[in-house]
Amino acid sequence: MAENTITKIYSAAKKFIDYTPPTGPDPFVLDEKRPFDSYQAQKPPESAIAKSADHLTALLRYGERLSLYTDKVSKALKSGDPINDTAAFKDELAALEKQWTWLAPLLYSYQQNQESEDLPLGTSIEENRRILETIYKLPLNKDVVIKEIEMAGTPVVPVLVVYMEGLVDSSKQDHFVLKPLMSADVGRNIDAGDLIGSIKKKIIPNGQVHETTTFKTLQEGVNRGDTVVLFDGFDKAVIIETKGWEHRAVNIPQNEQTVRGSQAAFSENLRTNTGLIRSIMRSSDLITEMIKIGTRGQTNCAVMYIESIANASLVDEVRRRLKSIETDYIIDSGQLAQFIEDFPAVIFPQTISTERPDRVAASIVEGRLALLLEGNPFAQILPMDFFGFFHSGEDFSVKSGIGNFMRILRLFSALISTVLPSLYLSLGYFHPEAMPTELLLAIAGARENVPFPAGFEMFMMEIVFELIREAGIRIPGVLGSTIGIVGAIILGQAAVAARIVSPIVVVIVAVTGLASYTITEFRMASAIRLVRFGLLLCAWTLGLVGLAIALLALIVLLCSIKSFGMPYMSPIAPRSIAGYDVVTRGQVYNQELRPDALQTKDNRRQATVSRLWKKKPAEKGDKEE
Amino acid sequence: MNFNSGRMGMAEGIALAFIVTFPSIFLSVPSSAVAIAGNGGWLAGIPAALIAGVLMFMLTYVFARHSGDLLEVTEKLLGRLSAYVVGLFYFGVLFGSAILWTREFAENTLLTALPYAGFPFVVACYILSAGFLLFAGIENICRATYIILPFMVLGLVLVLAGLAPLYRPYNLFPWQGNGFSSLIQPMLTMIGLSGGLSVLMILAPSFQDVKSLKGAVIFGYGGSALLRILSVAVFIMVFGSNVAREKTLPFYEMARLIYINRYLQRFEALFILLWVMVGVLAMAISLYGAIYITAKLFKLPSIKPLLPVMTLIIAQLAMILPDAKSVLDLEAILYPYVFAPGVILIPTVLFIATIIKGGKKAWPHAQL
Repeated sequence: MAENTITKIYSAAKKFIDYTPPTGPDPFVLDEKRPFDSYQAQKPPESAIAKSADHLTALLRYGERLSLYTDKVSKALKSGDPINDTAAFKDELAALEKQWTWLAPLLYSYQQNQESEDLPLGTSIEENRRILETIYKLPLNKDVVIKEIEMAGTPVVPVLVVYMEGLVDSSKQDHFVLKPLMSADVGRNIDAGDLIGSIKKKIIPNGQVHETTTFKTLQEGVNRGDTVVLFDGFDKAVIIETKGWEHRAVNIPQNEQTVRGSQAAFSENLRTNTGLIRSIMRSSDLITEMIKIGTRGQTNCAVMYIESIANASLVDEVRRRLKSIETDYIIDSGQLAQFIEDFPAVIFPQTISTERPDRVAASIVEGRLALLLEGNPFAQILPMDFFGFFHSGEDFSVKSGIGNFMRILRLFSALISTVLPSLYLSLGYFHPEAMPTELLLAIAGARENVPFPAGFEMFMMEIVFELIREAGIRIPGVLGSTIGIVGAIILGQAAVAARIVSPIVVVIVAVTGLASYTITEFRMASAIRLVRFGLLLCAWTLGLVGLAIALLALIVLLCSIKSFGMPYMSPIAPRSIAGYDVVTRGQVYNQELRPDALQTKDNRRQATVSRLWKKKPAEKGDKEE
Repeated sequence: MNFNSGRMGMAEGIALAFIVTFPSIFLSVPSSAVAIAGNGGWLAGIPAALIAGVLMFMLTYVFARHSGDLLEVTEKLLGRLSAYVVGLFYFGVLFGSAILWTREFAENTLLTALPYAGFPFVVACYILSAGFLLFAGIENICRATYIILPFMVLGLVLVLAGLAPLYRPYNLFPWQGNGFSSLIQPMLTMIGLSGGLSVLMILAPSFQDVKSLKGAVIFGYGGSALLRILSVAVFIMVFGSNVAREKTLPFYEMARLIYINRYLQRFEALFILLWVMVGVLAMAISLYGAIYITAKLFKLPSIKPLLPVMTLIIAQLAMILPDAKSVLDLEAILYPYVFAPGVILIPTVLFIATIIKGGKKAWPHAQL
């Protein structure tokens, strides 16, 4: 039998009453009880440390023996007497060589147990490549490129070129690094014995070329946008300056303008965007994963996070959600967020959408993730709590007192924007006694000639304001803002003159509208605008009782939302270690901990005493530096 | 069985303990206490708070040694039949409180905020709001309460401070009252009202540790008791017993008296926001406790299908009594003579049983 309205209602009622256990996986919750901390698991066990110590002791013993032998030989040579017992020296040398053959694997094993970045460069490019892959978490991290080329001539020298995609100027790299290296003729115009010296002198036409022997310096070069070249058979690398990431000329923020701080904004080019973030956050464990979204569109989505900070289960969950999107194509990162967030039907945003690379970098270092979609100039930061939507990029650029004042002003504006019209209606309709007598008389006088009830007046003006706002955005060019301002003034005045609305309503709607513009996140401001209409309706029908019930329902709703497993109202509800950056912010030197609700692998972002100069007297070395 | 009771810490516990014991200050309990005990009525709150606090601490001692909720612990200590009896008793306390609060808050709303609204409409508004909160889950209700809590306390403190010019401390002295024996009934009423605290023990598996429960009792119930005693004392200081016994809405009447200047006067209406929220939250939490017990007693797999049914029943029962006086009469019997003895007896018996039978430290709960 085909479904009709009655059977549909019956089925819906049955579904509502009949309990069916939920199917599908448990909702994702970001908490400390999950086995999230793969970082902990990666730490070497104590047995490995003990083994490493044994290896080091054996190597040191060998070093001591070698040192004694060389001393002995040098003493014998310096004495000037003929050496009678050369066989003994030869035997001892043979024994040392034999011991080294035995110790070489130990050295290798010891190096394996060390932090990769503390190691010196090896002579084998395979080994160096392996270490670089460990440092940069390849092939997961798609920003770092390791390219193998060969230098022509005899002998053929395999070369490893390492650079960070998005941070290098590719034409500079082609002309000053790759082309000269590949066309150089080893053996003819380059001395194979002093390969690196010759390359620096004769091949690379670049003013800034440096040598390095450690992975630490190598990383610094790669992370700042230089190209690093490693040669097979040499334990040195050459760092060539090729910086060339896109900066300020690309764009300035259109929607998140600040007086202080960076003035760069994202563009439509994904690689430029990841490069902009990397140019701020030059960390080797900043990972950029690339995931293709859309079965037909195949749009690249970059997931950026700091491997040693971000919660591993959160990263896994975001990756899982992104990979399980089944759709033709996704055109916008806001659309992408709706595909993966926990409560897409709730009007409040659960990710921050930003066009500012500095804001993304600041969030990533807190332990959050950033999603960037190809062709879209906005990054989505997740997970995000409610209070984060009222923070601005320049809160930390100004002194804490000023920053806090601006934050409180923004929150107060959000409150005004949400409740002022409904409070006016509630008091005007149901409790006029709560208003000061003079104000009440003024309102009554102004409303005397208005033929509509106050609720209708308010709704009408709110909708007119929304019309002006929407039209202002859609009308092209400068005309939009002009028409917006002129339209608002003319319409407001005309409406009062025509006695359609009272002046107090125009004032309330204007203040409400103005207040809504102080909210830094567009989607949050839109959600608050929509909530305002709901509250207005409740206040119109039930006065303060309706307003109280609606506000309570709103708070409960906000408490029930989770942004990628993290409670939306954290760190207040549930209560967790708040740090000094929630509603207000503390001094920059007191920002010691990352947000607790993010359950990061490393929750400390700076030392308890971050201003060491306050504790430590000046030393000689300080002056020299 | 999945009752979706969430995971709560001390903050949620404080909010829960505060909100289920606080609504009486917005209702007629202070007036009734003054009517019976005269100017000494405020003293009744002190022994009541101490006794209820001690009883709750006895229960935390029990729960530190036995895991599970109140019914499971009772079953372990006293057997299945006793667990049923205890379950039914606390169901009665919580369900009864939810009904009475629905009725009283609806009556108060009609008196102060919506004089032209229909009574069933107001009841429906309250019960639908409570129902919506229940669907969000106890964890979220408690978190929302925790957010609102500072505003509640601040509002109340502002009212109490704003009345300072009208204080007559002489009214507080016990010899102005009707004798210490007259304090017994108001004291029992207040102990009966603290029966709502049982929600803490009913939802014990949802709490992280026994420290959270203790914190909830000390800060949540302690704070609520302190504010209630202070409010009744201020109520008596301002009105005196003869006028105070006539006031059915003590808090509203107190807020009405505040005059700061010509621009800040008659703002009692703004406090409607406060007590409506307190009322709806208290109703929702009590109802949640009652539904939880029902689901446990009948071994139901989930509580969600019970929510619409129980809210409907509450709305119907709240409208049965013919007038406000019948509600007050019923309250005067239920709280001191039905609820209070059970509220005293059950924790005492469980405490003695734990001492006799012993028990290992059993926290955190296995299911956490």
